[in-house]
Amino acid sequence: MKKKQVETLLYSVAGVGIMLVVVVAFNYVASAFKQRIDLTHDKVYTLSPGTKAILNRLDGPVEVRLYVTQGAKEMPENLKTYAQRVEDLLSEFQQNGKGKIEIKKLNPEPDSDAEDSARLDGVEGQMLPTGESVYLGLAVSYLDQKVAIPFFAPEREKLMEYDIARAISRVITTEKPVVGVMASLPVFGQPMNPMMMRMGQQGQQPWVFISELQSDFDIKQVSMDGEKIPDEVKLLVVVHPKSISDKAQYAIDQFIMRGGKLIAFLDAMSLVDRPANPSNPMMANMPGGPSSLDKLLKAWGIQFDTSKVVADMNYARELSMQRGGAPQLMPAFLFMNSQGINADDVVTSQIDNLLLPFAGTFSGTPMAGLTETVLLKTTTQSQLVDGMTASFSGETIAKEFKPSGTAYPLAIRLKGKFKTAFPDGPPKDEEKKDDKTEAEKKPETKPADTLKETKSENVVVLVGDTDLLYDQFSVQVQDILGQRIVIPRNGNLNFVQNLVEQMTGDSNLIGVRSRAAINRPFTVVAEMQASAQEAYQSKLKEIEAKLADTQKRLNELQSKKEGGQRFILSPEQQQELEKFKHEEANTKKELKEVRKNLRRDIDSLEFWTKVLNIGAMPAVVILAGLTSAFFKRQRAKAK
Amino acid sequence: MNACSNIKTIAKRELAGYFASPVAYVFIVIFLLLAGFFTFMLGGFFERREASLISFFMWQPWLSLFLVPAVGMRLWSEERRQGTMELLLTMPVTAWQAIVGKFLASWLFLTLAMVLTFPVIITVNYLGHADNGVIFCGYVGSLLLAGSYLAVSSMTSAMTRNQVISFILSVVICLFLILAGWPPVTDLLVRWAPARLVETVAALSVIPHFEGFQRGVLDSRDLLFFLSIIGFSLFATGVILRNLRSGH
Repeated sequence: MKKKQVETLLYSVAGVGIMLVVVVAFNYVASAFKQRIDLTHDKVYTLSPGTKAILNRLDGPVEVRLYVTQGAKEMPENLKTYAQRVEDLLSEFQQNGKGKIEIKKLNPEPDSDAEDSARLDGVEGQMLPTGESVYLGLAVSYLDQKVAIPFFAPEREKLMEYDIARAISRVITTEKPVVGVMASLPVFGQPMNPMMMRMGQQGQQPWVFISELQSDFDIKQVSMDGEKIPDEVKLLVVVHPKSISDKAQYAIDQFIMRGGKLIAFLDAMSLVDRPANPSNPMMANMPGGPSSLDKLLKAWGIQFDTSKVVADMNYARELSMQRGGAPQLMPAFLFMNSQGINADDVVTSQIDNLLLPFAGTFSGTPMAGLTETVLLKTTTQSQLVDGMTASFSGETIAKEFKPSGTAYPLAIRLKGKFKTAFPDGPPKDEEKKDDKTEAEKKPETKPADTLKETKSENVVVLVGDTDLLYDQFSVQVQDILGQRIVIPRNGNLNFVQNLVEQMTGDSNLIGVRSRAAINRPFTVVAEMQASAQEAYQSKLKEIEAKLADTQKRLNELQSKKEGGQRFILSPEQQQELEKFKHEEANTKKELKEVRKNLRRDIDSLEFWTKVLNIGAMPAVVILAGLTSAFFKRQRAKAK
Repeated sequence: MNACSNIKTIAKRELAGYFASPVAYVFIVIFLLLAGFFTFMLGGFFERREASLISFFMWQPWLSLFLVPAVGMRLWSEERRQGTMELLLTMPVTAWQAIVGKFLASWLFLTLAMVLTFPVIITVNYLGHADNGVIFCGYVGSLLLAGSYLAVSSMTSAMTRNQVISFILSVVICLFLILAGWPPVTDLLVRWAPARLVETVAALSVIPHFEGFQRGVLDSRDLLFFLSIIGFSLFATGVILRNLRSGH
């Protein structure tokens, strides 16, 4: 009897053990047949059509070597789960790759063959604070092409698919399109100055948008005063063409007539453009002047306002312009949201926030044969303002704000057959015109050589801001584990990359990348801020007017005084001054009150959100409990 | 058919038992208060200014760690203490019908508590454009997580007639399931166990599987993981109960 009990017990314990093994094994086997349903609204974890199109282009086997440190000890937990996600996404690639993608997972332990292979592939080990080095990177190879992603940074998670798709696209595309960049700003960085180098200073790195474009395109620097755009250039990017010569404009014109595509970043006021050697040190902090392609724009029927920037209350935020300075509302710093971004266009459809500091606007009707698409625009809560005032005092702009009710275009695309802006041939050489040394002059292109019209449809994109390209406004560069990691602050970089990619013909990557900038802010709070700001603005203005009035009266009293008394205050003046001081104190108090009110609405929203969420439902449950208890007792009594 | 109706009967009886005393109300109120407090005060829901429930789901494993064993601790130990288990098992129901019935009742009860957090969904949709697919997925994950903890509690509850011991055992096991993949735990194991075993133990961690749901992806592996824990724990409960019966 007893023996049987022991047997049963043993059998049960063994049974539990066997069951555990079976369950673990079952999980292990089933993981090979995984299925996933992506419930996210934007299908963030499903390969985008762009990626699928790239995978469809595969005509030979692509090998992906994934280097992951697999020791449970070395790898931090967050990297381990992140590595799992990289693997998951890679297996999505594999499933969609119709057998053309082969994935090899390698564990680069110290002094192993895998470590040597990682080094050869350009995948780098990341030093942890503990001194250990871990790997999470991959290399893609196809025929003799090889591209590496040295390290997957978790901060770039939303760009994971794009990074992999780009790597694959790069190995299967043998030729990179040539993109010319003509810029008056130091977008290519500045080479190291030998003097500075001795002092331990380094040259400037190229701007991130250039270095990002360089990995997909053959970027060629085009001189601002060249007479011809090189033939191999398919797309020309012009950045801040400040005081551009007619000759250069002619070169661009002819480039377009030849079928070359153009993206021009113009600006009414560039924050980045600072005088290099200002005669007056004060000038060093002044924003630079405007830029335009006046001749060309005129020929296309477009005007660009170089004297005014646009302010928009819906896009404004509070910013500190100086380090440690009090934040002030900057209506001309356009923190654009989806309201003004064209959702129907492939370039902008997936972008929902951009930062355009001090942008100019386009107007006019395009010439016959050209159609215009507005890519970016302001809301109707906007107004054209003076650039300098806007840059020095956002508050002034905010106070005097009067919405014009117009949505101003900030970026437009012109499509169609372009006609030349130089029907009379190339412009005369202005500098050499007065020169008598005619003999030295090169033989000019004859008017007959001038192309008058594009043969087929062409595309030009005009953007009213250059600052959006600047690193400080577009990306955050972080030093993570000793590596320079670029994290987009907003959609600026995407916007530029999408534009360039679409214009060079390969649009597959557009849909992949755009996921990066999707966030879901509290719209209610933003709306509240906007409307509250508007409501309090008039009050602010009223207070300001009162102040100005007092000041005026004081001045009047001053002017009535006799010459000798000028510097001594009369009793009336003293009284007025006292009154003024009193009123000033009052006004300051009122102003403070106004600001306080602005905060109060948001605070109260926050408060009630908390109260309702934490307290309301428990209260209902308690009430329900008490009610049910009461009825139970009643019933018990009745019995 | 008969099995189904038996399970249903037991589940009903059990669920009615919860609401017969104030225990159910007290539990739900505490759960809601804590969930709200963690989400809004510690999770920085408002400070994130983002229309997502990250701060809500982030705390679920920890909240469940203490509250679910509190629900599950009495499942069997109470029956054992009061000596009603023999009575229950002499009724025309099999042991596993009773186990599943009781488990489902408690799970349903936890689901009700979870459903009552719906104001947070309304809030987040009012404040911005929330991704409701992700939120739905997060709730599915939370329920599966709670179900797993509950199954573990059912097992520990069957082991002892003392509810407190059952509670503590269950919290420890669930805590292990949270910590399994964490370096301090794996470091401890790596000293004497082969790497394969350490990997296997680390794979038992609920957090990476729960994270999948939080992201908005229903992955068959994550689903299977939680269902495995539930299935295995309930099986173990059955083995323990069987032994108790034959042991007496």
